[in-house]
Amino acid sequence: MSRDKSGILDWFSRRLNLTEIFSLLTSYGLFYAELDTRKPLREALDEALERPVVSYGRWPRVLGLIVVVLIALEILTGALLSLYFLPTPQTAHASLGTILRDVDFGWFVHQIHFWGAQLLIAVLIVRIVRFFIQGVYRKPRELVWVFAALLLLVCFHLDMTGRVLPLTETAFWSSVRALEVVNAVPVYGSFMFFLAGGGEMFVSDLTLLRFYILHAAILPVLAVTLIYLHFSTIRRIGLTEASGDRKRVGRAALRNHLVNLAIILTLLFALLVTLAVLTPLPFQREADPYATVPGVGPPWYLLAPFGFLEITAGIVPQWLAGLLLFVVFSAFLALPFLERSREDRGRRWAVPVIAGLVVLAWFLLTIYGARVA
Amino acid sequence: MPEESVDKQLEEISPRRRKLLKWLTGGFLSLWGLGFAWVVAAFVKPPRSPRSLAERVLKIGPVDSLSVGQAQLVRHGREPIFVIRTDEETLVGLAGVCSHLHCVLNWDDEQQVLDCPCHEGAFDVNGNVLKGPPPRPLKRFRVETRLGQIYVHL
Amino acid sequence: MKRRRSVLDLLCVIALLAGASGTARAAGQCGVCHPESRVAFAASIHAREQVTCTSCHGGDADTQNVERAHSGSFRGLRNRLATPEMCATCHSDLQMMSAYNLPVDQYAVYQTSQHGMAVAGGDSSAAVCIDCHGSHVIYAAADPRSSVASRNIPTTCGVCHSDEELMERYGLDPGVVEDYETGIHGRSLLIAGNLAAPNCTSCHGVHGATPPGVGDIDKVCGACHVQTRRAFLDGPHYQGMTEAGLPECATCHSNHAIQGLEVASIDTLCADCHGENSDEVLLGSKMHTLIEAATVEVEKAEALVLEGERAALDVEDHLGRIEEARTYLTEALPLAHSVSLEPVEQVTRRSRSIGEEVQHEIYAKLDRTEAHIGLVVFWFYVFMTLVILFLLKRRMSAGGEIA
Repeated sequence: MSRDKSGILDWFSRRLNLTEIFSLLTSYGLFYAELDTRKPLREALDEALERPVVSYGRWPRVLGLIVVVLIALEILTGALLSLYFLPTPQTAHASLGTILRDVDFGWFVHQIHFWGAQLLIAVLIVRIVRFFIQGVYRKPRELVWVFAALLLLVCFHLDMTGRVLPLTETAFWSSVRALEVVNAVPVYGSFMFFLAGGGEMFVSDLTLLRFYILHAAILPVLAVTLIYLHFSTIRRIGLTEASGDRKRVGRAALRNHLVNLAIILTLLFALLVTLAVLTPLPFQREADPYATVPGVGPPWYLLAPFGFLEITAGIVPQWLAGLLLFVVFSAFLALPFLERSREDRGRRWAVPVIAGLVVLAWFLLTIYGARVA
Repeated sequence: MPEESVDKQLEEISPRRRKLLKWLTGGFLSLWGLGFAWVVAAFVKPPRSPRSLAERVLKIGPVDSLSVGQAQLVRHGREPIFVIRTDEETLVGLAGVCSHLHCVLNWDDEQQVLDCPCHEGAFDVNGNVLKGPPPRPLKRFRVETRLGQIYVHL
Repeated sequence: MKRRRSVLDLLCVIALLAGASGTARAAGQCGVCHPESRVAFAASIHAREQVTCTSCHGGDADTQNVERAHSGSFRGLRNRLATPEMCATCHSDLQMMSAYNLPVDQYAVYQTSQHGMAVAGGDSSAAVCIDCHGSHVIYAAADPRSSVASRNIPTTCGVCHSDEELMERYGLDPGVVEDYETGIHGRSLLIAGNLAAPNCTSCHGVHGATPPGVGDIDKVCGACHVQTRRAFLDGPHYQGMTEAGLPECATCHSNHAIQGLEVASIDTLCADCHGENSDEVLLGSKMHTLIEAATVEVEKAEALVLEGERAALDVEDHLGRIEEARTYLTEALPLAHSVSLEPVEQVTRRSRSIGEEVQHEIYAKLDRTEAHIGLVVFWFYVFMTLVILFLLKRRMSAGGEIA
């Protein structure tokens, strides 16, 4: 390190608590060491690196990092898009047209925003499956699971509200299909109706604006908060008890970790750009609310509940099917607590088996839902 | 081992060349940041000719270019528009496609009517059906002149 | 709003009640013995317009005495052949009909028709007024329930004209209605419900029903297919067919089972009369090629424009020009009836060049080569970055400091 740099660093550290600012990175899973914020940055770092902490170098850990980076990318591209997007029913579609047609790199930013979201949800799902398989919901990691599951649900809502905004043909009808699912679920369904501001009808002039505020302000804040809480629990108790995961690591290991991160981020970004250029989301016509477009299903992650409602329609009343969906979603969130009460009765196998069956059913229903739609 | 030999080779590089290599690498990597900043800046810069959303008026040209009894076919969007000068003062804007099967109409100078080439439909200068199969009169557009220029309100 | 609805409802009920009592009055006492006729008549337009039983049947409607009721001016009307004249007493009365804006020449026209002439000759099987319009239940022709409403006409004519025994007597083809139903006119009227599509009367006349003569077919068809007829008259077919006694349009398109011919059928169609390998067949296939090629170009252009729309291109103007090209294509088919190459060539050339132009422009706009080159450069950059990072990693695992 040259002298000038340390000079600048010193200049700032006399006026700012750099350690505190740097520790924000640890809060978002970029760096796992705990820093002593009372000490100067370099000293705190030196100390933290000599302390035994969770190892950095392991590849599976990058999933969490990818989530953070993707959310940051979504926030950045979203902020850029909001510079041109006009969220009223008359202008929404046309302003997306302006972004795609006239703004330099407009299509690129839009495609990155879209594909980043799809990748984010996919990574979150993979991650939650990994948590389930490795038992990262058992005591004392209940909250790790709950926050991760909530984060997944929030991201579903981010994607759903985001799809509607440009009011394109498929987006509009896709969200109508999604609303059929939402509508069926008790409590939650009526809450969403309330939130969308449509009153008796689901969609009013206010709905688009409200979806926009949800998508661009409320849900992102919620997601960032959940990530903070999630990584906070991970830093406190780690992800697994597995041997070798907690070990003494030094400076070299941190560097190794940082280079690994750089490699992963480069590959991730390359994948996103490739998807954006080679498989761009087509710009559909503006939706006509009076002309149903056949063959449009809900978003891919909602195909299973959609298929479930289609199967049960006519066999059981809709409120019962909706109630069942509600129970499944609640059970998904409350998984750690379900097992603890079962454990006492000596039936540890029950949760994995039932959950496995649910996952299998989810998979099959997704296929069915896709075929129905 | 080949790895060691590479390391050795690196060790053997003179300090000056090492410094150059370091600079080159740093420069190469900082291009990421440059490219990134470029994309963001280009995006933020408003487009040169933004499609104005409020644009609902079409400029046709000077009034003098259209003598009395003449019509001009304005190619605009999916459906062209006929601007007809019926007398000194009056300009009429009519849809340029037949209300029957969407054929593009022709202006007949002599009879002062719009003819449809497909099924012999005809419309007068007010868009009324004179003959033939068209079920509806032509849609009318408001035309006005400002500072000697013709504008059509879409 | 709600209150106004209920007031309207009430008014409707009152009107219905008044109407019902009115018809009851008009029927007089006849309905006591003839309840079925009375019920049927009550629904007809005649009952609404104050026509009563005695208007047609004569007699006295105010008594229940059978003898007295069926006396005086009573004429019963058991003789079918007397109905046209009877209907004409009112329907040829200019003063009476002008109030309803109805024509008064139907009886005169009817007498000139094949039906009317047969009746005049005493043929009791020929159609009289009531055969088409019904007797007691008569609706206005515009009423969809009417037997002479446009969509019901084929069925109404078919009552007699599909009757094999009856038609054999006149040497007529009993399959005409069925043929019509399979034709393009019948399908668009009966299946697609297009009331502007022609029914039997559009070509044969209404009251003056008579088949158009061989030399008149071009006029009958040309009433709607104006451009086609003009081209046909311009071409050599008109004179040739008239001289050969061929039924003009019907020669190729058939008379009742009228089919819209595919452009592709031009080839075989010409050969039917002119023989294989004749110059005419060559001309036909040239026209076919011209139209086909233009259609293909326009369709390709249209598909491209839609693709451009999905790629967020501004295609409004291109869609407008495709509309123009389609106009020329629509013109080409009627012009082909002139059986000369030049006019067809002219319009197809125009539509084809518009199609090609639009394609070129959209292709130029859709060109993503730049983006793909950018992607390749980008991947080269990614690759180089990865190489640097892996070198860095190896040096570190070897224990060295970062350079």
